[in-house]
Amino acid sequence: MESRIKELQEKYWAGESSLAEEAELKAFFKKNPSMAPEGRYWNAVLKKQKETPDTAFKHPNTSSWRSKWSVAAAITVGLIAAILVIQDARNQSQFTVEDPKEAYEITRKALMMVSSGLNEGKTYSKEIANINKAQEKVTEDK
Amino acid sequence: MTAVTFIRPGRLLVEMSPNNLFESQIIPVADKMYRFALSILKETDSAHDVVQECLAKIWKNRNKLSDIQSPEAWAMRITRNQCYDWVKTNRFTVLSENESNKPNSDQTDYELILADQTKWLERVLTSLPEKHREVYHLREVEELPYQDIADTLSLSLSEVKVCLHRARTKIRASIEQIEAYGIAN
Repeated sequence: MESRIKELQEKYWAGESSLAEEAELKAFFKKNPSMAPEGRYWNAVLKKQKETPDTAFKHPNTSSWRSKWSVAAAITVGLIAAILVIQDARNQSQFTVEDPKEAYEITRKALMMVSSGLNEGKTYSKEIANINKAQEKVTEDK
Repeated sequence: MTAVTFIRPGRLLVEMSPNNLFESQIIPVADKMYRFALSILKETDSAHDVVQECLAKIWKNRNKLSDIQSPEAWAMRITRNQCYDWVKTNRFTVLSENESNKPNSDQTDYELILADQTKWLERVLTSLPEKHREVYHLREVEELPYQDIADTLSLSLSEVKVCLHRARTKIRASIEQIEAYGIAN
């Protein structure tokens, strides 16, 4: 066996070996890893053959289909949103009320809606005023 | 004289579709393309990006696959061209990244081979001319036949053999030096 490997090595370094003979040499050094410089050379070659990318390659077909589907989905969502906005704008048409009581009720409801928002702000402004007062007291005590 | 009748097989039975050819001939060599790109660019992310671009390019031209004699050599040639295009456009980046990957220059070959045999081999290969390095990689790492290497690199068969012989001679000289250094110590 040793003489066969020596013969193959000689052929290899002389540049006269075939792919099959080189495969035989690699298989030998894979089975019998050597710490001698030549053995380390073969270890390095075998290690190089095992190098693979950290992340797998995307199939060019699936990536293009995925991007096409995402574009189609985005367009559909956009169209639905546009239809909803247009429909909502159409619903906000003008109307007249003859009955003064009904007109009063509608106005009251609208003003209540606005004032509820204002009252929310009022509670926050009260809290801020309290904090300011406390801060002033602290600075006066100093 | 008796006449013999043959049945000509349908085209679909004889030829594979371009999509099937891409799956069976190109996808299995993607890792080889990556290693070849890495041997030129020395940077994993760039090698990955380049091969991804190559796969997209080959996919676009998959109709040509049925006319190509060696799809593997064709894919390798496309990878090589794409790598050199990438080097042209990102020259500065390549040079600066290569600097950081270089092994410690203070270490002797003997010390380096004991510490990291792959880095030692990388150092020896870096000292070779570009063409020798490429031939060496395609033969030793990717195990391509001489004709495929010649097709990939647009060289003649004898040029491929000369380049490989010179690369091996240089490696052998380095191994012999290491052996002599080891005995001397």
